[in-house]
Amino acid sequence: MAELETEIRQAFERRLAAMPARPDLRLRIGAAVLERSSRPPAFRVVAASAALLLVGAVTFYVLLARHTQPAPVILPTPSVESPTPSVASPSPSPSPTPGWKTYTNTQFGFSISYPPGWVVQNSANPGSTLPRGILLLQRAVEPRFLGNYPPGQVEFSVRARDADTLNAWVQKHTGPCGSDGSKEYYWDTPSDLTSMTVAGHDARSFDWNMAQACGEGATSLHFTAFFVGTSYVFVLDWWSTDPAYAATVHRVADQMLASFSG
Amino acid sequence: MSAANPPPFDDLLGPLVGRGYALAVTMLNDRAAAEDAVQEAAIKAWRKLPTLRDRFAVEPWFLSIVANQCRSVRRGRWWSVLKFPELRHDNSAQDQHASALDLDRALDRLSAEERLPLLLHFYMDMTFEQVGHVVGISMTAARSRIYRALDRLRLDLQSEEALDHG
Repeated sequence: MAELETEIRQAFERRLAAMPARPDLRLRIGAAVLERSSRPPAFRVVAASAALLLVGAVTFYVLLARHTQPAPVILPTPSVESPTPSVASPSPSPSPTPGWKTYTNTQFGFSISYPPGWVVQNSANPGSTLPRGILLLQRAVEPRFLGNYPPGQVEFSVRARDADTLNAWVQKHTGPCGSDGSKEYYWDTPSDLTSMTVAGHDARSFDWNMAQACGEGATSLHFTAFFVGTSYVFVLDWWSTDPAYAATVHRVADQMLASFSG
Repeated sequence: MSAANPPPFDDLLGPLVGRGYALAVTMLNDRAAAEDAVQEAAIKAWRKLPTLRDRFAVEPWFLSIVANQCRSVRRGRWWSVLKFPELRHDNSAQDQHASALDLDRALDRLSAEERLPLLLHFYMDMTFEQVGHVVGISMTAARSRIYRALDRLRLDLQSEEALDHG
């Protein structure tokens, strides 16, 4: 027992020696704390007022858009692949609004729009590696959250197509949380698997509750996946930890999907 | 501790940054994300400082904020629960003894929530009660979690040994 305890301690020492913190981390954090705590109280009042105005403007914009947009692009279709997924009616989503910006990826041959004022960037931290099978991973997020962890965002990715059908692909990448990275498990218990059509592609949407899978906070991720050509799977997902923000992210995700071209 | 005259950051939380980073990198397996998580946690802790009644309990209190911040990061970066540290591929690891490598791999196979109590108890020398405080569970649950993680490690190491000799 004592021997194993000693070995565990040494194993943690090895882990930390392999990923040391920057020498100036303490100074950097001290400066960040000082900078944030020295902001005048009025800053918070102004920030809160601006946030309220923004919420009001976004709400007005959403209501206006719902009344003026043409028919939704995402349409439910019956499943022809397997009886497993349910066939539900996804909520209608408006087409992308004029003024949206376009992300184009020539390597994988697709483009997708995202809202003005949002940014698209690599979702992975610099230097980190993506799980095997994920060839591209981007996120769309509001710039005000770039310096912090956002209350929600839209992610889209290109993954290797290594199954003949979408259902088989989702099933192939279903496995327990914390499994060896070589297993290429992306989720462990997808639910509400639903057939739909996205921008002309046969697609599957499903949810995954990370809280149940990994014993962590109540975060549900909402996925939509479809084949692009013979080699790739395009996956878009969104999540939000803030119920008040979820509607915004959901709407943006639906509109981004509707704008997909490839 | 007086709210009107809080101690300087470097006196109170500065010495804990290193241990906060050790916790964060153990949970996130990513250096940059760990540093960011400790910074966010430090800012939150500094704001909550007036609510801290027992200055001698500052370490488990701060580490619990770091742990919660890491959970938020893991939720936002879902693949982090699947990603394993690159340190196994580090050149320095090549010279390690085989049994040490087995233990490193076995630790990798534990989930972040299983590794965390082991780090706190065996590396940071925290009591079961302090581990419970940081993880957000009772002392009894902390003890059980540590023993369960140890059992998993032993089983994993026995399997590796059986494979090596098979």
